[in-house]
Amino acid sequence: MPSKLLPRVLWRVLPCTIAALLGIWVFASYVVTDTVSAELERALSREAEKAAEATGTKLTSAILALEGLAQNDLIVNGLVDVEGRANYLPTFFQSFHVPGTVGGRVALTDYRGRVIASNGKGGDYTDAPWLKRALAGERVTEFGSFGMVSVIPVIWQGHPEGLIVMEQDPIDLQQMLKVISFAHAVEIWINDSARFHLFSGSSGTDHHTKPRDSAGWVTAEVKVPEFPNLRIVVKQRTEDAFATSKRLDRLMLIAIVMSILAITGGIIATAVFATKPLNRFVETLQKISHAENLGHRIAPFGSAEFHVLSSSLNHMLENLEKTTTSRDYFNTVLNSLSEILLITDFSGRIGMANRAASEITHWSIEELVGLNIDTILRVDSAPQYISRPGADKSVKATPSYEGFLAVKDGKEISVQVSSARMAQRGDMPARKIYVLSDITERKQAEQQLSDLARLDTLTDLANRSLFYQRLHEALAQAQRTGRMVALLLLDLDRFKEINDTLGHPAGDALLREVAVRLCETMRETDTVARLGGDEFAIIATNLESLDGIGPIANKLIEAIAPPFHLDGQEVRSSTSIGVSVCPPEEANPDVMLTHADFALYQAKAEGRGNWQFFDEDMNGQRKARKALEADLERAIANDQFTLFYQPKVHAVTGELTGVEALIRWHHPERGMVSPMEFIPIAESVGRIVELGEWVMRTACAQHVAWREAGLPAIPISVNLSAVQFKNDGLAETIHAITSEFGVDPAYLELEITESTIIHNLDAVARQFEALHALGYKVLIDDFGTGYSSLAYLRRFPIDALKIDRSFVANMTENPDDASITGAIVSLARSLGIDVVAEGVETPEQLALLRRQGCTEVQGYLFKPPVPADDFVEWLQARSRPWDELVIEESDFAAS
Amino acid sequence: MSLLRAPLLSRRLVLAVCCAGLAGLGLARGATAAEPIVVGLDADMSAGAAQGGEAIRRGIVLAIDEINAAGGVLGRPLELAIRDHRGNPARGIDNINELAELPGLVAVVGGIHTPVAIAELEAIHRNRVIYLGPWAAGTPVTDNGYDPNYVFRVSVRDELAGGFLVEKALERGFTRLGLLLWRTAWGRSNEQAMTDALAVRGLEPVGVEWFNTATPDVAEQIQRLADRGAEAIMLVANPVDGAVAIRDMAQRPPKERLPVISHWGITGGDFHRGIAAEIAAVDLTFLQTFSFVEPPIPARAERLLHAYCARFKDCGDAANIISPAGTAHAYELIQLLKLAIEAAGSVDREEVRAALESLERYDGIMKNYRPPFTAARRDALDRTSFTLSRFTPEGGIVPVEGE
Repeated sequence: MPSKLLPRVLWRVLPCTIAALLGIWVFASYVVTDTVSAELERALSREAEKAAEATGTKLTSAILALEGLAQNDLIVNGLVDVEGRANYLPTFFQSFHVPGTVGGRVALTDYRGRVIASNGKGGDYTDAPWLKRALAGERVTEFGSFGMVSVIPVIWQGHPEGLIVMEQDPIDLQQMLKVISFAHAVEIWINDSARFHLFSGSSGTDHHTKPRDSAGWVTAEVKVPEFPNLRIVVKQRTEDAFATSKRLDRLMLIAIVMSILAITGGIIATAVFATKPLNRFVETLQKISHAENLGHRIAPFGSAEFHVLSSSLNHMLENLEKTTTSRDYFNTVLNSLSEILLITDFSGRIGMANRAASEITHWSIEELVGLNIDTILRVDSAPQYISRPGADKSVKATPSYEGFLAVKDGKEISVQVSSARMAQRGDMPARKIYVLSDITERKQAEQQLSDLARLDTLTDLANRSLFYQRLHEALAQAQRTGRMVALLLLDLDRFKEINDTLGHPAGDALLREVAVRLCETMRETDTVARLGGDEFAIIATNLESLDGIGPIANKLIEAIAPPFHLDGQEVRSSTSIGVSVCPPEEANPDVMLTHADFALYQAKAEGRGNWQFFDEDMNGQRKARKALEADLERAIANDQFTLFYQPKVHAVTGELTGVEALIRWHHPERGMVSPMEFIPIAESVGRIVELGEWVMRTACAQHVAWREAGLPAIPISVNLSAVQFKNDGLAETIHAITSEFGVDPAYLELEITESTIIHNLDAVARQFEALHALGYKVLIDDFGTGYSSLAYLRRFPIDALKIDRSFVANMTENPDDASITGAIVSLARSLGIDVVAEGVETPEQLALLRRQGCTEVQGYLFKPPVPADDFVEWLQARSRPWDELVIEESDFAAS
Repeated sequence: MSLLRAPLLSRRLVLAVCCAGLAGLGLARGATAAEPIVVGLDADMSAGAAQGGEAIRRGIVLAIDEINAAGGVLGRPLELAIRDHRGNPARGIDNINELAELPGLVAVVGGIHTPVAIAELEAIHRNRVIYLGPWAAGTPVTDNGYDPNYVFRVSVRDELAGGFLVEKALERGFTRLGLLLWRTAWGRSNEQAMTDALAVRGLEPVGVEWFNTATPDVAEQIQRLADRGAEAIMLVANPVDGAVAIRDMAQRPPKERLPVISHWGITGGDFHRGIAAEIAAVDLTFLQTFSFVEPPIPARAERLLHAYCARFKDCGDAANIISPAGTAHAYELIQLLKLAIEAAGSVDREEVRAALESLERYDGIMKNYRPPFTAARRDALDRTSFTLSRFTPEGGIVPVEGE
């Protein structure tokens, strides 16, 4: 009978299993391919958009520089000064460089395209196809197989009298636009016959304008917003693109085949190891019980418990045979089993238990007998019911499953349960036989396996949950051993930047490489975990003193310092480390983590590649900040804030053009607290919106008060925080306040820092539109310190740029700063908006700014920020705009 | 502004050309079907100094009308062909080359801009075109080193103008003079003339400052000259940049404003309009050669004024006639050209050029020329024709009293 069972089980179970698994494989394979292609499309589009934006920005800034050149009065003079221009135009052009370009020709031509001066050789443009349009005043930028040509008319007396021409041949253009490296091949398509292969990525090195058909490639195409004729195409070979998914496919197939083999094996094993032996036991026992034939024997078979059981049973039968029907003897045999053996009636009441049952559960056999088995045996998983067709109908099946057995001291142990049912026969009631084996050790092994599941999938380091467990364990161990545990928190400097510029795949590769280096640096007994993002944590155990930590931290910093090679790019990073140590007597993982986090914050504040211990001083700072947070909560209610006012004046006439309202906090104990200190706190405790509204209301009230006092209406500007911008109702709030005070929107100017804009592009775009529509002026504060993407300047309705004070401060000493201020001024001019220089402190700075064409200035040279009354006093004391100024003779050469 | 003005002006030019042409044809019809003799005009007719160009055109038209009414020259009518160079030398050179190809062209009357005139010298002499200068004052325009020299001028000569302006400044008691000059050949020509004139008296400029074409402001340059103790500013500028200089001077506090003694280049355009208030705030005088208000020979000027007002309806008050010197100089040149063609008995340009050099006398509007030109002297006027003038509040030009 057992010989029939196995093939039948296999016959019934295996085809279903194989069909199911193959089905899963086909489905999974489809899902993977689908996901990979969707992901690839997104990745390529993202790259295309990035490349398009970078390309647009590059070209726009080059063209802006040309526009500036066309407005340069020396250039205009060169058109007229036929006799004298040879003395200055060639030098001018030799030293002129269009930002972002690596070569190419820049030339000044007359009104018929004949070259007057240029930075190199080349012919006239009298036959150029764009000449007519350019001479009609149109700014022309064209692309083609010749590369790029950009032409700006030189307007003199309101009429194009010459042209500035910039030519970039394909090689130069390619060099110029080759700014960012990409994971894929990137091409610029001008038309179907002119394509520039910009970035070779991983697929090929051909560099020129050869068109490639799209078969065999996955592509994404985006128009450059500023130059719709230019299309950016990012492409990847189909075979490369789907290599990963094919590999996954193969791996899955292998896994499926192995699963089928494993399941087949499992079925055979189950049948052999569970069904067959019990069957034999039961059959033998039945024969014995029914036929009173004690001569039956079971040939020893199987392994482990079954082998023991069978031999024990044979032994028992021998003894039974020997002692005829001695029940005591039978019990003795059962008691020699190492497994628990319980026999219950069908209600579950235990009628018999062997000695092993008593030894393992610590209950006496008397206590066990009479208990219901359900009260001590808890099933863990559903029994796998295996039918045994052809078996003795009185003995039913052998569900084998795992469960928990309650033992006397209240604990539970894990058991493997095998049971069989004996049907009623004659006067014997139906019963069940349970064989329970202790599998606690096996369970522990399984637990280790589950630990493996708590690894970070990217780096194979411990993940956050395993990290917490290990930290608990380490602290518990430290308490026993009296040694110290150190927690090191690491953070990669510049990671976001690397991720943004090189792409997520490169960022992931960097994280993996960092994980490898960290593991190589630490001992095997230490835990290295990745908590998420670029945040790593290391638990160093078994430390005898604090002295051991410094060398570890330094080794870690050195390990991260050498360059990483990511996809052919050399990238440098560094790490900052915060360290906290837990002395054995107060082991609290959460406190340790908080302390390490604060130490990391301090380490970063001191610069990159640094490490810091958490110490009590830091605790002090942390508490001081907490105290300041608490004070800030009360400051508005207690009227501790006030506004100071700083005038803005016209750079040439000196007339008052407006006033900037600046908040000051007069702390009852600490005196004046700098806005640099309390504004970030107000942002983090969520009071900035309230504070911003207070500023707006106070400024409006002041504006009205001045007007009522008979002063002219003075435009007043207030600063907005990034947090305020995230509030969608900002424009409505502002408008409600100005309406309440009756202030004309034209007199309220809103200043937003450049970094706020960069980090909240979408929110800012919405708010700008809304504010502009209501008639408010919007100024960009601290301009020049952020990433100056020209694209956004064009996108938003901006009324003025404020040059950051840091450039103004050094402009008379540092030519680089002076050229930055000059560039900002001409940028503003070309956009047709105002420009305000902040922090003007010396007459020399003023003189230089005026020469550069700056329209408004603000700074200590005129007046520092002062309370409202002092401002009015200053305003009324000013008899003439420039009274306070003495303009020194400048070193600006006459010719 | 230029967008509105350009089409109006060019329409006016087309009309003018047609009128001149029709007048010539009408007269010629009675006599023989004679080919007209063509006179070119190459000047800024539409940009910053368009007013000067228009004044020159009016002078030419008045002379041509008068000559054609009397039967023309050698029995042939005179005809005017106009080319606009907008103050741009590149356009000027092309214009000369084009005009030289016109059948019957004998001479080209130039415009205000010395830089253009100097740039054109090569084309003038290569094409052997007689160049009649009614305005551009640069010394190198006539002292150009070409032999034979095709340039003849009835206008100011910078060498003399520099001396005259310096002398006027000294008469007013200013010895510390600051020079504010256009960075072109004309500015350099005047730097030389003024420096030389001062050197004769043992003086030198306290400072020389330059500005570029279309400069946004010259406040810095004025301030530097003031810092060096300049008592007056000697200005050499075209109308557009000159207006910037006057504006910047007017923006200085009243006590710090310096008198401006200007070359006459500022009067070539619509200079007065738009900065009338600034001009009123600045002590501005400038060089002129001719005015209908106090003309050198009143009877002849009276006659010309009469013709002028009959022909041009905007004439109004004698003080408000636009750039009167340009009109008078151009008128004189056409009359001199007529005499030379008659003396040569031919329209061959070489022969007419030689005849211009040997005319003995001409009784003109400006003065009696005895002789007008010689082989060596290409400038018909000298400093006896120079006066110092100022603007009336309405923008008219009148001589400074006592001149």
